[in-house]
Amino acid sequence: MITIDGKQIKLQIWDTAGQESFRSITRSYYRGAAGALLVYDITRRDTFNHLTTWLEDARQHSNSNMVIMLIGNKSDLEARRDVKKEEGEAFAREHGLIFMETSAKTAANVEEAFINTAKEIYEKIQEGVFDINNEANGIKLGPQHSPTNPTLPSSGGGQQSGGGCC
Amino acid sequence: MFSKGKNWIQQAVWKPKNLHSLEHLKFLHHVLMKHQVVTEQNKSLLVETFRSISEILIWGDQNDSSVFDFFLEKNMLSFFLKILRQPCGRYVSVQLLQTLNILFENIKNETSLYYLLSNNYINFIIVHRFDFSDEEILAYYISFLKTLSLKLNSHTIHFFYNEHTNDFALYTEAIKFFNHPESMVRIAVRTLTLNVYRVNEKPMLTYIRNCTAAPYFSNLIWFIGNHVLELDCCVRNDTDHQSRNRLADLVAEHLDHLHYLNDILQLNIECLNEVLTDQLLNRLLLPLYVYSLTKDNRYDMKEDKPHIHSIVSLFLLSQVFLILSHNPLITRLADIIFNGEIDTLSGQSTDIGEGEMSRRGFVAPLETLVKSLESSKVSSLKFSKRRPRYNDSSPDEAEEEENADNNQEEKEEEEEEDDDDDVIGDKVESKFDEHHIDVEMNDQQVLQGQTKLSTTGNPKPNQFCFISRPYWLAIINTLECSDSDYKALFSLCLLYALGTNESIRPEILDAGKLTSRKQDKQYYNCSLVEKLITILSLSCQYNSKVRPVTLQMSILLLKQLVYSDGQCFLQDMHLACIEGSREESKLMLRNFFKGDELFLDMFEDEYKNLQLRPLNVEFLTMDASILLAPTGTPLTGIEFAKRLPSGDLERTRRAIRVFFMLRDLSLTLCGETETRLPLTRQEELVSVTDKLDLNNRDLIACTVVHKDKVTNPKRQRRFLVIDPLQLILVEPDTKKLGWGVATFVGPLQDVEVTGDKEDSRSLHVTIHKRANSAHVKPMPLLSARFIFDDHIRCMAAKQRLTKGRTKARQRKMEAIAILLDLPHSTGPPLIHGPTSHPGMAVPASAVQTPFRTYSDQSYARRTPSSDPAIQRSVFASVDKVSGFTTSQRRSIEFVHQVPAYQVRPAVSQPESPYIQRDSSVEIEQAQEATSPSAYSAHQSHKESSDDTLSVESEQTTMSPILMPAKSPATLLIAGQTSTETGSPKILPPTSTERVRSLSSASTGSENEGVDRFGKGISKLSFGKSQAPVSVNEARAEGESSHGKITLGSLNRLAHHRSPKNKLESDGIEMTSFKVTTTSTVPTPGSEESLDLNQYLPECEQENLGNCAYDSTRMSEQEATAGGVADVQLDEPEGAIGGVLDVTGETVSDEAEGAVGGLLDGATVSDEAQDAVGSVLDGTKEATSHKEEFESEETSDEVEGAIGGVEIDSEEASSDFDVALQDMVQSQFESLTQRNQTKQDNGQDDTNLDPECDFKDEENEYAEKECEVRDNEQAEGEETRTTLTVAARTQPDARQCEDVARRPDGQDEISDSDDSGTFPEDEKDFSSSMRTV
Repeated sequence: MITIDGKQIKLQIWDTAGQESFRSITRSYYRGAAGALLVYDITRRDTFNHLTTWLEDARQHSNSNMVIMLIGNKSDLEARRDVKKEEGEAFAREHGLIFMETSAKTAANVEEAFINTAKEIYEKIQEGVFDINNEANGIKLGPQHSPTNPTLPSSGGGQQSGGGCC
Repeated sequence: MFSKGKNWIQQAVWKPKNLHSLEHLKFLHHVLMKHQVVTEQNKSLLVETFRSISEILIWGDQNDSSVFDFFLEKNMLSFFLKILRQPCGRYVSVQLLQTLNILFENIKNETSLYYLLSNNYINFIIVHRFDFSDEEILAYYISFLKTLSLKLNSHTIHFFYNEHTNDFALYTEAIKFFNHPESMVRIAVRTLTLNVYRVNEKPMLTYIRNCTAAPYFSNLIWFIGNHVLELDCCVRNDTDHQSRNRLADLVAEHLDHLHYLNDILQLNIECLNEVLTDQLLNRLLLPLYVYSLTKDNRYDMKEDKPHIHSIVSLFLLSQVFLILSHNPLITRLADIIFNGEIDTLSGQSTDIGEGEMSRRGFVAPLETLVKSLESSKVSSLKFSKRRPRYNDSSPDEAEEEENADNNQEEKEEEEEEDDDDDVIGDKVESKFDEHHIDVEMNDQQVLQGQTKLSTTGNPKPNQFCFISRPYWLAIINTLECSDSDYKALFSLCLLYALGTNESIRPEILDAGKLTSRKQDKQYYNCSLVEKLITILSLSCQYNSKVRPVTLQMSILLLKQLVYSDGQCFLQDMHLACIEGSREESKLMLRNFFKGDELFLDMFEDEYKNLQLRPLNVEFLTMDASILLAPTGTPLTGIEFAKRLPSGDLERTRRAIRVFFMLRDLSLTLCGETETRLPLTRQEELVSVTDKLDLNNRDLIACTVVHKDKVTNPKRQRRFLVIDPLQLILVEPDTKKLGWGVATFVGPLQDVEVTGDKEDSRSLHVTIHKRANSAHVKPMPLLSARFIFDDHIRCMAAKQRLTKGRTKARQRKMEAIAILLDLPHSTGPPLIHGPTSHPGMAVPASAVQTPFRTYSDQSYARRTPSSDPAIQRSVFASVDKVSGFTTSQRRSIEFVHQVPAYQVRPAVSQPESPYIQRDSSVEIEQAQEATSPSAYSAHQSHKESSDDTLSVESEQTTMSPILMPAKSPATLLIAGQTSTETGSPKILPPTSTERVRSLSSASTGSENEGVDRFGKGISKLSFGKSQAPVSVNEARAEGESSHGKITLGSLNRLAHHRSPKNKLESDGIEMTSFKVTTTSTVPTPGSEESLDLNQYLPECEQENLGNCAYDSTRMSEQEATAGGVADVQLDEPEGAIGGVLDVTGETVSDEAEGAVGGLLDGATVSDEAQDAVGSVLDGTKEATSHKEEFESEETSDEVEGAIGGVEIDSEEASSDFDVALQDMVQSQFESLTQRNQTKQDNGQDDTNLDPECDFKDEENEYAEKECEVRDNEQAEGEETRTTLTVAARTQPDARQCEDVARRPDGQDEISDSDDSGTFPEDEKDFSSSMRTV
C-alpha cells in the first residue's frame, strides 16, 4: 500500500520466478499486469543478455501500455560487477524502459523501484492510457478503501530473470 | 516478494530485539498461549506474533534447526488452526495466510517441510471456510494454495492426497475457483492444477480422473465456450469498432484457455488427456467451431443451437491448430475438417459409450463443479457436472448462463430425442473416421495418378472431393477475395496452421492435398494454389481489397505448399503467373514513384520492416483487430498491414510493400538471391573503429560537442569526412600517417544541418534515426554541435553535408529506379525521380498546370529520338549533331540559349573560340539555315511569355526567389506556341545543393563534365517532378537536337549515378541556376563585374549572330525580366552559362560578368530581390544594385541571405519546368564545354581562343575567390582556375538578377550569385574530372 499524489494505491505483486515452464501461466501473468520489473543480476552478464528475450516475451503478451522497469540488482556487489551501469541505461533507453539499480540485500532503491513503477502506472492512468474499468489491464478501482481515491493499480507483474530476490 | 511487501509496512513498527533466536520464538509461543482467544484488543499483537514466527522459522530453517524442533514440539501450527476457527476477522486471517505463505515459500529444508505438512494441519486450513467474498482473503488464500502446489512432489503429495479416503483437498478446493472473475485467482488455480498433474503420481491421477476430471474439464470447456460466444457476439455487433478492447480481452482470454489446455495435454497424462480430448472435441471444437464453418449453407439447424460466425470459427480454429499439439485431438479435428461430411456428422444417431460425455454438442454441464465434487465424494464414479454458479464474470456472460440454465433441462431432453441433428456417438464417429480416411486415401491415390497423367493439375479431383467435404469446401471458398479479404485472411491462417502443426498425421493432410510438410511437393493442390495466385494478382491492382497482411499470408502459404529446401515445385504456368504479379506490382509502384524524400524513407523503412519483422502467424492470430471487418482508416489504431490503405501516402506504402513481398517471393521461387536490396549494404559502409586511408581526402577539422551530455560530455576534436553515404568522424590513427580511425558513422541521408545564429563557426548536426520499436520514441543517432576553425570551413562543411545528404538520397533513388526498371535511357521517369531539392514539397504539379503542359510539349519536341545513342554522353551526340543541318540549327539555337551546348558545335566548328562564340557562330548559321519557323516560334513564345508575365511578376513580388520561369530560348527551341502558357519558376536548388566552382584546370573532364551536367539535369528534372508522360511524348517526337541533348543528359544521369555523384549534385545546382537565369531576361550586368568585361567581347560576337532573334527575344526577355526574382547562381560558371542561355544568343557574357560581380561581393538575397525589382525599372538600377552587393560582402549577410534563399529555393524547385531543365542542360553543356576547352586547349584548334578567354575569366574568378579557396589548394592549377563557387551563399545562394540594358538593345538579365568559393567542392569536382 503506497500513496501517490495523495491517493492510496495497493500494489499486488506477483513473482513468476520458477514458473516459466508453463507457457500459459507466464502468458497470463503478463496479461494481467499493469507493470513489470525486469530484473537482471549485475554480476552475471548472461542474465543481462537474456533481457531481450524476456522483454520480447513481455511485450508480446502484455498490454501494450504496460510499464516496464529494468532493474539491475545486486548493486551492493560493486566488486563483482559484470554489467556496467551505462549498459543498463543504454538498454533501457533503447527499449523505452525505466532503469534503476537496486540492491535487495541493502534494500537500496528497492522500494523506489516499486514506487516508481506505480507512479508511472498512475501517470498513465491519469493520461487515460489505461482503461481503468477494464480489469484485464491489471488495474482495479478500490471502492472499499478510499471512495475518494478511485484509482488503484492492483498488480504489477514482477519477474526476475536474474538471481537475487526482491 | 510478499514478505518484502509486508516488511515495508511493518518494519517501522517492529523493534528488533534479538529477533532471530530460539528464545524469541519461545517468547512468542508464550504469547500465543496467553492469547488463545482472539479479541479486539489482542488482534494486533497476534498478527505481529504470527509475522515474527514466520521470520524466525525461516531464519531457523537456514541457521538453527533447534528453532524448528521447538516449533514442532510445541505444535504451534495447532494455534494457527485454533485461532483461525474462531471468528477472528479478516485482519488475523489474512496475516495467518500470509505467514503460512511466506513460511512455505521460503523453507528450503525438506525435513522441515515434511514436519510442517504432517498432522494434517495444513489440510484443515485448506478446507477451512474462509470468507471468500473478501477478495483480499481470497487472494492470500489462493496464493497460499499455489505456494503449496509448488512444493508438490511425489513425496509431499501424500501429505495432501489421501489414497484411502480419496481426499485431495488442495486440488478440489482450488479448482472450485477455476472460473473466478478475478484473473489472478484463475491463474493461480491453473498453476496449481498444472503443478498437481505434473507430479504424476498414479493413484492420485486416477482419483483425479475418476472423480474430478470430467466435471472439471466439462465445466472448464463450458466456461471457454461461453467466452467464445461472447466473443462472437462482440464481433457480430461491432460495426464501428467500438468494442475493440473488450474483443481484445476475449481473444486473449481464449488464447489463455488454449495455452492452458495445451499445457495440460503436453504433460502427457494419458488418462486425463483422454477425458480432456473428448470433452474438448465433442463439447467445443466440433459443435461450436467446426459446425459453424458451414453455418451459411447448412441445412436448418435449430435456432437455439449455439453457433458462431464462420469468421470467428476460422480464427479460433487457426489458433487451435497453432497452439494445440496433442496428436489424437489435432488429428481428429483435422480429419473432420478435411473429410467430414454433413450427413455423417449431423445425421448419425449414435449414443454409445460413456454416457453423456459422449454426446456431441455445446451444452452446459449438468451440475456445477462444486456440486459434482461434493457428490463425487459420495460416489466417485458418478460423473455429473454442472456449471458453478458463483461467478458471473460479466453481465453478458451472466445472461448467457442464465439462458443456458433455463434451457438446460429442455435441451437435455431435446438432445435425447434429437440426437440425429448433431450429436454423435464418439466411438462410432471415430470408427467412421478411420473408414473415411481409408476411402479418402484411395481417392487420393487415384487423384494423384490422374495428376501424374495430366501435369497441369486438373482441379476436377478436388471438386470431386469438395462435394462431400463441406468444411473443407467452405474454407477453400473463402479464399475468394475480390470483394473483401475479410474471410480469406482467416482461412489462410487456418490452412497455414494446418500445414505447420506437426501433430497432424501426414495422410490427413493428403486428404486436402496439402503438401505443406512433404518433401516432394510436386502434386500440390492446384486449385488452392491457383486461388492463392489470384490473391497475389488481386493485390497488385490499384484499388485492391487485399490487405498487405493477407498477401503476406498467401505468400507464406504458397511457399509452404510448393517450396521446400530451396526447391520450387511450382508448375511453369503458375510460376509465370507469379512472375506476372511481380511485374504488375512493379508497374504499380512505378506509378507511385516520386522524387520526394518521403518516398525514399518509406521505401527503406518498409524494407527494413519486412526484414526485421517477418510475419509471425501466431502473433497475427493473437490480434483481435483482424476479427473486425477490414477498415481503411488509421484512426482505428489498427496496424497498417491489417487494414486498407488510406490516402495516397499509405497507398504508396502499400505498393512498396507489395512490391517487396512479391519480389521476394519470385526470387525465392526462382532460387535467386537478392542482389539489389537493401539499397545500402552493410559491408559497403564504414563502421566505427574501421581504419580509413584518408590520404588525399577532404577532411575538415572540427570540435564535436555532443548535446547528449550524459554519454559524451566532452568536447572531442575530430575530422569530418564525408563519404558518399556516410558522415564519418575520425581521429588520426596513431600508427599510420594519413590514416584515421572512425569514431562515429552515420548515414548521410538522415543528416540535418542547421547553422548557429550566434556563432558562424558552428553547425548543429542531427542525424535522425528511424524508430525500430513502437515503444520507443526515436532518438537521434547523433545530436551535436560541430565547431569549426572558421566560418569558411563551417560553411564548407555545411554545404558538403547538405549536398552529401542530397547526393546520398539521389543515389538511392536511382537505385530504386533501377529496381523498378524505370528506363534509364529515358528522361521521363527519371524526371519523376529524385528531387534535387530534398525537403521541398513538390507542389509544382498542382500549382502550375499550364506550365506542365508546356513542359510536356517542349519535351515532346526536344526529345526527338529516343535514340539509344542518347545514352551515351551528350558529347558524343553532339559530335554527331554537326552533320544535321536542322538538328544543328536547333542545337545552335539551343546553344544560344545555353552556351554549354555549343560544345558540340565547337567540335564541329573550329571557329568558335568560346563556347559562347561557337554558339554565336552556330547561331548565325542556324539563323541562316533556320527557317522562319523558328522565328515564328520565337515570336509565339514571346507572346505567350508576355501573357504569363503578369503572373510571374506577381509571383516574384511575393517571393523574391521565384524566378520567372520563362526562358524564351527554350520556348523558341520548342517552337510551339501553345506550350508556353505556363511560366516556369526557377527555383534555386534547395539548400542542399551548392554552387560549385568549376575548375578550369580540370583536364580531360569534358566527358565527365558533360556527364555530370547530364546528371545534374536529370536530377533537376526529378526535382521538378514533371509528368513522365510528357517526357515520353517528348522522346517519341524527339525532333530537335536539343531534345536529344536533354535525353542524353537524362540518360547520363541514370547511368552515372554512382561514381560521379558529386558532379551530379553540381550539375543540379547548375541547372537550377541556369534555369533561373534563363527565365530572367538577362540584362547586361557586365558592367558591374570585371568578368563581364572580359566576356563582353564574346557576348558581343554572339550578339551579332543573334541579332535577328534578339529583337524578338528582347521583348520576351523583358517580359520575363519583369517576373524575374532572385536567381541562385550555384556556380559562377553555371551563372555564366545561364546568362548565355538567356540571351540564348548573346547574353551569356554578361551573365558571367554578373556572376563575377556577385563573386566579388557576396550578394544578399534580400538585396537580390530588390535588385530584381529594380531590374524591372532599368539597367542602371540593376548595376547599382550589383555594386551594393559587392559592397556587402560580410559573411553574416551571406548567411542571412542563404536562409532566404532556401525558402525561395523550395518554392522555386517545385516550379521547375522542363523548359528550364533544358536550359539548364544547355548551360551545363556550355560549362562543360568550357571546361573541356580549357582542358583540351591544345587539342581543339577551334576551341583555343575560347579556352583562353575562359581561363582568363576563371583566373580572375579564382583570384577573387582566393581567400575562400584556401583550403583547397590541392588541385593546384585547376582549382585556381576554377570559377568561383557560390558556395558560401550556396545552396541558399540566391541569385540576383539584374536587368541591364544592352547596347544592342536587348534586355539581358544578369544573374548574380553569391559566390563563396568552396574549395572543397572544387576539389571534388576537379578530382572527378580527372578521374574521367
